[in-house]
Amino acid sequence: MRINKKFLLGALGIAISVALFSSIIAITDSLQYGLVKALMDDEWGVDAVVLPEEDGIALEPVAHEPLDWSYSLRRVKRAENLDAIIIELDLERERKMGIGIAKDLDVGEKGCAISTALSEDRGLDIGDSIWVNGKKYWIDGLVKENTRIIYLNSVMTYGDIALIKFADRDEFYSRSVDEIIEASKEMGSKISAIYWASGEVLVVLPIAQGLKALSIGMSYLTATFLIVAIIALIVASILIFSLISIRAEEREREFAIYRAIGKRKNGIFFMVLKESLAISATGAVLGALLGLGLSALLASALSMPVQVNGLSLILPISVGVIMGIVSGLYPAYSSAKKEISQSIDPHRRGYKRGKVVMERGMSGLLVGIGFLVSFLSLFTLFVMPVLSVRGGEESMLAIVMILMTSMIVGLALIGVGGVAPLIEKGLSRLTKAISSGVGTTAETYVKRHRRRNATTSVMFSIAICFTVFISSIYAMQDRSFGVTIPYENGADCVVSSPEGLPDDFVDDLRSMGGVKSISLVTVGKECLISDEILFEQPINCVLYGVDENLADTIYPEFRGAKVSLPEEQWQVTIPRSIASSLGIDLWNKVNLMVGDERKELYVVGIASALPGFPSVKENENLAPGGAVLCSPGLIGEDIGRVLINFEPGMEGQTVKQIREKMSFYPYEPISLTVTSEEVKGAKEASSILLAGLFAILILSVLIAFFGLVTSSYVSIRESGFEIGVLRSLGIRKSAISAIFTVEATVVALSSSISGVIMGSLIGWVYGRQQQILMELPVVSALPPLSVIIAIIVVSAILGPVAAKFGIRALVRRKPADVLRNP
Amino acid sequence: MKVVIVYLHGKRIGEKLFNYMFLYIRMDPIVILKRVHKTFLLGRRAVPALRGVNLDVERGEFLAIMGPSGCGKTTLLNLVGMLDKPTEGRVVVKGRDATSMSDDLASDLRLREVGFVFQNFNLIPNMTVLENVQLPMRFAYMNRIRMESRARMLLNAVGLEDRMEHLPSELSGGEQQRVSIARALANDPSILILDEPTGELDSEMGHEIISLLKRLNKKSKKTMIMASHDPSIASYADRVVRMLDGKVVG
Repeated sequence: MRINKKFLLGALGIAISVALFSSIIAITDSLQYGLVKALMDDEWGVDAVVLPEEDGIALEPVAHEPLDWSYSLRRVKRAENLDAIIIELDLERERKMGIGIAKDLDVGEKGCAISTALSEDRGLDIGDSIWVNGKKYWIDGLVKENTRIIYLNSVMTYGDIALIKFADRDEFYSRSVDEIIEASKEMGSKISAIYWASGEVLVVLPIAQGLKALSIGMSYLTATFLIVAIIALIVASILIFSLISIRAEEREREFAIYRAIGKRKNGIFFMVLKESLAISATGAVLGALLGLGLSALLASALSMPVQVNGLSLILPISVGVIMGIVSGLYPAYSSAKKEISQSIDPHRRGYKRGKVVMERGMSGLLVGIGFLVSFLSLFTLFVMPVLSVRGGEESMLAIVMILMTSMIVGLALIGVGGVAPLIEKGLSRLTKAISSGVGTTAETYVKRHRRRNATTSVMFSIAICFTVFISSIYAMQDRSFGVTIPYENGADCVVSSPEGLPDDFVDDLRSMGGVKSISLVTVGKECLISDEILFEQPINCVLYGVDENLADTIYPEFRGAKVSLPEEQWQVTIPRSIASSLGIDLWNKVNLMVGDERKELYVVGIASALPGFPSVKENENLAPGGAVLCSPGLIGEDIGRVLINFEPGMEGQTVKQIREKMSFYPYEPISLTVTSEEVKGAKEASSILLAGLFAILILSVLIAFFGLVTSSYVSIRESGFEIGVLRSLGIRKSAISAIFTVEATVVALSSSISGVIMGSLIGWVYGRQQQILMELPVVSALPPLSVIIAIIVVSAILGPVAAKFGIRALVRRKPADVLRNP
Repeated sequence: MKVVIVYLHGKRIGEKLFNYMFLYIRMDPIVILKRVHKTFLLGRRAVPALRGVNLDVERGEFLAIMGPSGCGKTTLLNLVGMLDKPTEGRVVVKGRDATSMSDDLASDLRLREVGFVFQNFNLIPNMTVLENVQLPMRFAYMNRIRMESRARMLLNAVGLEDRMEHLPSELSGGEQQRVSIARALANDPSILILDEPTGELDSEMGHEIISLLKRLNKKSKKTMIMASHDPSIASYADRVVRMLDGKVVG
C-alpha cells in the first residue's frame, strides 16, 4: 500500500473530523461533569447556598477531598426524600466494593460521621453506599481537610459559607442569613439545617434551578456540537470516497494487469477496500488522540478534569473506521467490475463496449431521497408528542435535533437534485456566451461527470445549507430579541440593595457629577417612583377587557393580562405594543375603566426582557415585555434600587466614583450593575458560541472543498487523453485550464446557491414555527445579505482554486507526453 | 496592425506592417527539419527517438513517412505539429522556428495552420459529429453562422451530411475517421498531420479514406504529412520517406 499525499490527505480529513467528534464528547462530558460537580461540591447538596455577593458564584473554596472523577455525573440524580446527592455507581464497581460493612457505626436520624481512617480502610468514597443495620446509606458528604471526617446523609461544614436546607424550596429571598431565617419562620417554612457562615452580606441561590438550567444548557450545547460533528463526519466520509475513487482511478491499469494475470474481481475489491480501511483507521486513531489532546488542553485551561472514558475514545474510532469501509465500498465495487481490455488501453478509458460512459444524472434520485428523508423527519416531529418516547428531556432534545438535522439534509438533497441543475444550466449558458469554445466544452464535461459532481454538490450544499440556517437563526434572534428593550427602563446603571440603600449614599449619587438623571425604585413593592414631578399629564385612555368579567373588549391581546388583587392594589401588565400605540410611557397616569368604575393607575415600569442584545430600534414594539401599571397603594417608600443615566462620555468616570462610594459601606449589600458591561458580557458570550459554530462550519466547508478538489482532480485525470487531443487541436493551456475551472466553479456555485436557497427557506420556516409555538414575537428573518454574498463569493473562489490542483499537474505536461501517456 | 515577417529561401528579408491583412511570401519549404534529435528519458535511461533527422516538406506536398513500429514516425509528426520540442536541432513550420516558440504561440499556430488526424480518431465522445467539427472553430472565435455553415460544408465534403447529429459511438470506424478529417480541416489549415489514419480501419475503408485525403490534397493543395507502415497506403503519397531507428534512411 502506497502512503502518498492522497493517503495522508484522506487520513488528515478523517482525523480532523474524528478529533472534533472525540473532543466534543470528551469536552462536553468534562464540562458537564465539572460544572455539575463544582456546583455540587461547593454546595454539598443543599437546596440553597448563601454566597458572598461580591464574588457572585465564585465561592471561597472549601477544602475537601475530590470526588472520584471516573463517576459519570450525567447520572447524578437528586434524591426525592433524602438530603443527599445520590451518585449512582455502576454495578460492577458496587460489587467490587462489597456491602454490609461498618456495623459499629452509631447512625443517628440524619446519619453520622465516620473517620477518614475508617473510610480509607474500607475504601469508601463519596457516592458509595454502605449498609448499617440493614439500612442502606449513601455517603454524600464532605471531607474537610482539617477534620477529615465523612458524614453520612448529612450536610455539615463550617467556615466561609453557610449552607441551608429548606423543608420546602418555594421561596428564596435576597436577604441576609438572619433575614432568611426570619422569613422562613414567618412563612412557616422549616429550615432543616443551617450552617453558619462568616456573617457577610449574602444572597441566596437555589441549587435545583441552577442544576436544571445547567443540564438543559449542556444538553443544547452537546446536541448542537454533536450535530455539527456529525456533519463534519459525513463530509469527511465523502472526502474518503473521493480520494479512494482517485486512487482507484490512478491504479486502473495496475488493477487490469492484476486481473490479466489471474487475480479475481473480489481480490481487486478487497484491495481497494483495504486501502480505504487503512486511511480511515489511521485517521481515526490520529483523530481520537488529537481530540483527547485538545480536550486535555481545553480542560486544563478551564481547570476541569479530562473525562477519558470508553465512549470518547472507542466511539469516534469505530465511527471513523466504519465510515472508511462504507466510503470505500462503491469505489471498490466499481474498480472490480471494470473491463480488463479497456482498462489496460488508456485510449479506451471512459468507454464501455465501444461507447463513452456517460454518468447518469442523480437529480431524480436526490430529490426522491430528499423528499423521503424530510417528509419522514417532519412526520416524526409531528407525531412525536403522541408517541410514548422513553427518556427524559435530553433524549427528547436529541431526537428533535436528529430529526431537524435529517430534515435539513433532506432539503439540501432536494436543493441539489432540483435547484442546482437549473442554476448549472444558467451558469453554463453564461459561460458559453462569454467564450463559446470553453463554455461548450465545459458543459460537455459537466454533463459527463454528473454523478461525481452531484456527490460534491451534496457535500457543498449541506455545509452551506447549515451555515445559512445558522445565520438565519442569528438574524432572527437579532431582530426578535435584539430590539431596543430598555434594560431597567433604559438606565445606564443600577445600584441596588435588597435591604434598602442608605439615605446618604442615595444623596451622594444624586449629587454626583456625570449623572444625567436618576430614578428610584422602592424595596419589595416592585414599583417605581421618581424625583421628578411625573403625574401632570394623565392619559385618559380606557383599557377594557382586562379580565373575562370586564366589559367590552377593545384589545383582545389584553385578555390574558395579569391582574393583581386586592382591588385597591392593582398591578397590571399590558403588552408593549398596546402601550406604544397609546403613547403610554413611564410615569404617566392611566385611567383603567373596570365596568363603571375608574381606576387610576401609574405606569411604573416597562417590563424588561433580557439585557445584552444589540439594539434594533424599529422593532421595539415586537419586543417581549410590556408596560407595568400600578396603583398608588403599591408604591413603597424604602429605596431599593437607583436607576442612573449618565451624561454623554461620563460613564467610565462616574461608575468609578460610584464604586468608590460603595466601598464606604462594606457591610451593606450594595451591588452595581452597569448596563454597558452587561451588554458587552452577553454579546461576548453570544459571539463566542457563534464563533465556535462558525469555526466548525468553516471546517465542514473546507472538507467539502477537499471534496471539490478531488472530484475535479478525478475529472481531469479521466480526461487526460482528451486534453492531449484538445491540445493537438491547438487549444491553449489557459483554455484547457478554463474548461476545468468552469466545471469546478459551476459545481461549487450551483451547489452553494441551492444551499443558500434551501438554508434560507429552512431558517424562515423555523422562525415561523417558533413564532407559532413559542407565542413570542419572533421575526422570521432571511440570513444577512452580507452572509449570502460572502458565501457566493467564497464558492466562486473555491471552484477555481479546487480545479487548480488537477490542472497544474496535467496542463504543464507537453501535449505529446499527454497523448503518449495520459 | 499585424507584423509580417517575410522570408525568402529561409532567410529573413524584412518585415512590414499591414492593417488586418496577412501576407506570406513562401518560396521555401513549408516544414524544415534540420539535424533534429529527440531523446526521451525513461527513468535514468536516455532513449533516442530521433537521431539527426533532416527533412524538407514542400508546400502542397503529400508526404508519407514509413517505417517499423518504434522508428520515430509519431515523434517526428509531433515535432512538426509543435506538440513537442526537439532535444537538439531546428524545426521550422511555415517559416517560424518551432524550437524557440512559446507554448501559446505554438497552440495558436496549431489551431489555425495544422490539422491532426489520429489513428484512433480521438473524437470527443459526448459531442455530436457537428459539435466535434465545430470545436476548433469555437476556439478560433469564428462567427457562429460561419462556423455552422463551414462545419456542414466540411461534413458534406466527407460524405457525412446525414450523420451530423449522431454521437461518435453511433458511427463506424470509417465514418469516425471522416469526422476526424473534417475536424482537422475546420480552421482551413495549411498542413495536415496524419498519424496512421487507416490503422484502425479495414483495408477497403482504409483505401477509401486515403483516397479522400488524396482528393483533398489535390483539390485544396494542402500539405499532408502521413505516417504509415502500410506500403499500399503510402503509395498514394507524392513522396515516401523511410525511417529506421530514428533516422531517415531513404
